[in-house]
Amino acid sequence: MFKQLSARWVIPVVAFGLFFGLALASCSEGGTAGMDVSEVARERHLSEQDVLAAVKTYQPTGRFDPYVLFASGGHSGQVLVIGVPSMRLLKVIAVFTPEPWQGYGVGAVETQDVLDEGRMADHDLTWGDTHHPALSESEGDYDGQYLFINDKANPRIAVIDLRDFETKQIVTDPNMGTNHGGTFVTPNTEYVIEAAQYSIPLWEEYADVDRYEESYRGLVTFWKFDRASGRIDHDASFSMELPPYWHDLSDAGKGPSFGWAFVNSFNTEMATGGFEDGNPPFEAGASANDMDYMHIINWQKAARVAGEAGKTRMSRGMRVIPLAVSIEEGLLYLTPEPKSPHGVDVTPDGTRMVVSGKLDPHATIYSWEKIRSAIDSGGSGETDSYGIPILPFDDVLEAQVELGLGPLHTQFDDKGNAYTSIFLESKVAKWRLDPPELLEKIDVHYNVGHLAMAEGDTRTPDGKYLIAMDKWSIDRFQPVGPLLPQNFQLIDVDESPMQLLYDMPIGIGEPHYAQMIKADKLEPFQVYPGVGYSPHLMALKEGAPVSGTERIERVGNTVHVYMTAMRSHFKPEYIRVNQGDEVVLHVTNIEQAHDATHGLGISKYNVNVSIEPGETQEIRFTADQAGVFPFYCTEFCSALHLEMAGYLLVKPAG
Amino acid sequence: MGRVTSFFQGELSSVSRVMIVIATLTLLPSIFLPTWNITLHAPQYPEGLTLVIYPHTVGGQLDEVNLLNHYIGMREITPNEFPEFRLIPFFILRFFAFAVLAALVARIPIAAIGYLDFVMFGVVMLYTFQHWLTEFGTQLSPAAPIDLAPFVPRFIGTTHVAQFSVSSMPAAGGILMGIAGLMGPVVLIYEWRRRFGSRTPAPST
Repeated sequence: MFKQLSARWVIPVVAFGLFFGLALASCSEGGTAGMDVSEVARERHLSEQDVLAAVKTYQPTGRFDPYVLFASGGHSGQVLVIGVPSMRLLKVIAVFTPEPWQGYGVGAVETQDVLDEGRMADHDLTWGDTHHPALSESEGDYDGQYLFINDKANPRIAVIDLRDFETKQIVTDPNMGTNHGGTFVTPNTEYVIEAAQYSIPLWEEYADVDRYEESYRGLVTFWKFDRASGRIDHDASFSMELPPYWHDLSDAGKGPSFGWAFVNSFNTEMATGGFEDGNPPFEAGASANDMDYMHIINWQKAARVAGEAGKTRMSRGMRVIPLAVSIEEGLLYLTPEPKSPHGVDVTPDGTRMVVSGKLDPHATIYSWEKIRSAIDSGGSGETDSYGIPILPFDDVLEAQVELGLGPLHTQFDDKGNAYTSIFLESKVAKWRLDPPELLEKIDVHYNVGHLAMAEGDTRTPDGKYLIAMDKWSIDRFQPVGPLLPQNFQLIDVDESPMQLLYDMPIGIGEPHYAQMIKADKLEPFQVYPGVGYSPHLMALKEGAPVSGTERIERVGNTVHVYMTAMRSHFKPEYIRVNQGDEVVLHVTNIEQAHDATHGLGISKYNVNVSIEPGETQEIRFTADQAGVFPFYCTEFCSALHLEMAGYLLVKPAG
Repeated sequence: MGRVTSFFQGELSSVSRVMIVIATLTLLPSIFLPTWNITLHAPQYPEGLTLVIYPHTVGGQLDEVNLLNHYIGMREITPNEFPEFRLIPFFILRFFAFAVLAALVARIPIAAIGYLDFVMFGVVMLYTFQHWLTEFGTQLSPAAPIDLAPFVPRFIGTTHVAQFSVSSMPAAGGILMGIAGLMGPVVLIYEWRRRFGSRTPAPST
């Protein structure tokens, strides 16, 4: 039987094997016929290194990046979401300025409410200068739930919910002139830290610069974040009065340094400029001293003190701990730091603080243990002119490592290395922490500001990728007129020497800092959970129109329109009102299909809302212009998208 | 003829009873499991859209399918309009009861009647399923935005409608019902052979 079987089966099996083998062979040849990689590389003048870089960054269609970068959108006032390593722009999140695609600030009431929270000095602010995004953290690691970002120009902070990547809240800091040292979060996002930059008078509305030292003050604010509501709790937040130095970046301690925050400063000279009057300009006056001050703040204790009666003063609606209270309670210490620093960065284990002085070639490493014992031993008795204790530099210094000209900002990898941007040299320096030693440098193009590494400021950095955020691009891109894009350069840090992989032009604002999170930590909604869902409430909204409840109701001069949208019609399709009526349009996208977004744009009334599946939005306007105004779906939702339209009929008065 | 009569007066062997018990065990979960899936594939639905037909209702992405159907003027599918859904779970329970009884009393006639009942039910259900598919596919509103020629999806297999390919296939519950149904002929052949031996010649070596 076995013999029979084998005789009958051997031939077909062999034949099949031959056929299969040939088919495979022809596939592998056929797949590249006329498309030889080395030939294409030669034709396009690509080196082997270039081809390797392309292979390391290319993502085939439908494949996602392992990391997501949240970058400041600079003057656009928005946040950029970028996939790494492909460096594909995934989204621009509307934050401080209107963004029509997302229906942000162009008719949708709840988005306008968020922008209105950000009004300052009785002005609508139609720009922002976003600088430093901060991802929410749990135990010192990104948790992928929220993102915060500051507006330097108009001192305010925005809260973005990463369930739908939308801005939920803007808080303003009325006591600051501008902010720069924010946002940075404490290890469990207890507080969002924001430090002011250019000092203004604190306890009085107006004081001339000639009263700078008496009346002007620096400030750091600890915004209390309530994770459950996803909002900053204004009343539980507090500020601390600081000397009128100009404060810069901050960072929160972690591990052994948990409970403390570190804030850099420059212009400890308290220069007041006035170049036109024959005084040294700020740039010289603020750079006269060899040392400025790192501020060491016990935020945990400050939070307790802020809660005690008589320990704070109200200023412009904010609780502020006066400088005298901070000194008396031991909340604030200073230590010298080399000239005009930018970044203060706490090492992943929380044992050291790395300061980069822009006008000093070193990274200066402070030991938390030494800072702690200097504080505990009561200090040397030396103070600044405001009475804040100064911890002697030599008592708290661990080491200095020479990196190059203009060190700015430091990030960390998973192998005990630090990476510092070197502005004047246009390089990134890789150096070892233990023992401190410069390892190598790589050229970047050009004038690098911040660095962002994969989870590079957390307790557990990932290494792998570094993005150099270059201010100038000069000759890197196709010329597009005198205003050039900035340049995000992706660097592979696992290679030795480090390899430059990709240049991404940023043609929107001037981005500053970015944070890079593992993509699998983000769990955004694909579709809002339920029909009639309000992104503002992050819950189903009572009374939101759903299928079957469409109607128009008039209450006096107010006309409420309860409208639904689905492919490919609005219901109702006519809105008839009288000139002068107040129109309140409640509109729900009653679909639940992935990506079936509708828009609602109304001709000449400056209205465009984006209504994602399930979402409900409210639009309010006064029908002050008589006439006939088409409205239509502004997202290409379906084959009959152009037919998804209706008329707003405003009957002339009288 | 004598053989058939005596066969139907016979008792079930314990092996057959075990097989009938297995049939009941596969039948029972099919009350709760999806019986049939109708899956629509199109480029913009990379994961497909599935209508899941249970013994008692239609589930899956019904809203989305109804939304798409309004373009071609197909009337809305609402689970309440199908009287079958109120009956099918009880029918399944009835077959279950027959099978349990057959296994307990070990009488071939009970097993045979129960099995006939089950097969007839299956045929009738597939017929009504096809009837509904025909009705929905051919009674399209002439006022619909997209004018489409009437179509008849097959109850099993793939039909192409506009940019969609519509696949209709038994799901877990349907497959379990099929397995239960296969037990009938298996028991029949087993019992026949046990009594009258095999007519098939032994394989040559």
